[in-house]
Amino acid sequence: MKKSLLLFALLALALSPAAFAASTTSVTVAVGAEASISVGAATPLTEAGNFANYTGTTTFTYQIRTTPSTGTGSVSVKVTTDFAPTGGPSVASPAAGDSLTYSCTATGTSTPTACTGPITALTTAATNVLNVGADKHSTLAGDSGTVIWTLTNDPNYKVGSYTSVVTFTVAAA
Amino acid sequence: MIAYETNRDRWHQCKLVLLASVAAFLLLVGLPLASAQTQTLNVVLSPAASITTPASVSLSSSGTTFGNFISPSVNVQFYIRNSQASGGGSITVKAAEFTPTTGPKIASGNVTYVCSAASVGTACSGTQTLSTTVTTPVVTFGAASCTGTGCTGTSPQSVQLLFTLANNSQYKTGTYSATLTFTVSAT
Repeated sequence: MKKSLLLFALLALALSPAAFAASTTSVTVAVGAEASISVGAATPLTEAGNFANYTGTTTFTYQIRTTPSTGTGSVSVKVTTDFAPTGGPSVASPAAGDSLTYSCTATGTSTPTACTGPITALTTAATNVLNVGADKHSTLAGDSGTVIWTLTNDPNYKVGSYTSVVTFTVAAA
Repeated sequence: MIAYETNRDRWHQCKLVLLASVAAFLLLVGLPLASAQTQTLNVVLSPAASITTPASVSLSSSGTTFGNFISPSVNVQFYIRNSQASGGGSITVKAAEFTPTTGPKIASGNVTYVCSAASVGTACSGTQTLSTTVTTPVVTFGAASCTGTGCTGTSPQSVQLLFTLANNSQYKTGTYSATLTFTVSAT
């Protein structure tokens, strides 16, 4: 009897040297329309010659993902702080014939449609820089674009340094 | 009166004789009045293991645009018993690809995880990349790992995992699911 038990034990050990078990988990993620934008800190506007308009270029990159079928995306700009100090150019209250205008370029896998300038920048509303359609996707590093600014060089402006703030907004749906 | 008492005494004497005769008979035939036997019980404890994981885990935005999707702490619970001297074992994980296929891809290395707080064994170190083709480590067990009274750790034992999914603008919008299979082994 003891021998039988011993043999049974040895057999059991030989037949089951290892044990395995498994369990599964479902991982779910909801991926939505999304967009982000990165703009350089400052864009200097410079003149090419006496009383030639001031010009400068702002470069930006954006990541975007839009919804299939009905999705849209856009980049827009708004002058959120007018030029200061006073005595120089103004976006909100420009002298007759003066303006801050811009034109655009854009490229990338999101196949953007850039604005065709000149478009007058405003302090009261955002104005368009580019549009993307439904089911569009930038690269992981981001697609890119530029806004080429033109500011009237009016002799009435007092000599000095003037600064305004322009806010770039990207939207995706 | 005298005759009556004599009969009663005789009756008592007869009972005593009868009882003595029965006792003597039982002793002579060897009938036991009490008995005891021993029985040896043998049990063979082989390596054993079981594992329980949450039915589902949702990855959510980390709060920043195009920031990674992250999971809550995923609690993997298990029981293990392996051999005393030369035993070993592990918990590993392997994934099936996200569906539908227009979103994140585990095969492209989009999902990583870290392990922590293994109540027994050694949790995986560093950041592991989830795979659809090979198992990747979660916990490694040394010999004499066990669960329960007298064992190190908790009952059931557990380990925590945190999953991270890269948020790529190339993913189409939608809801995506993948199945992870956790396997525990003990030797």
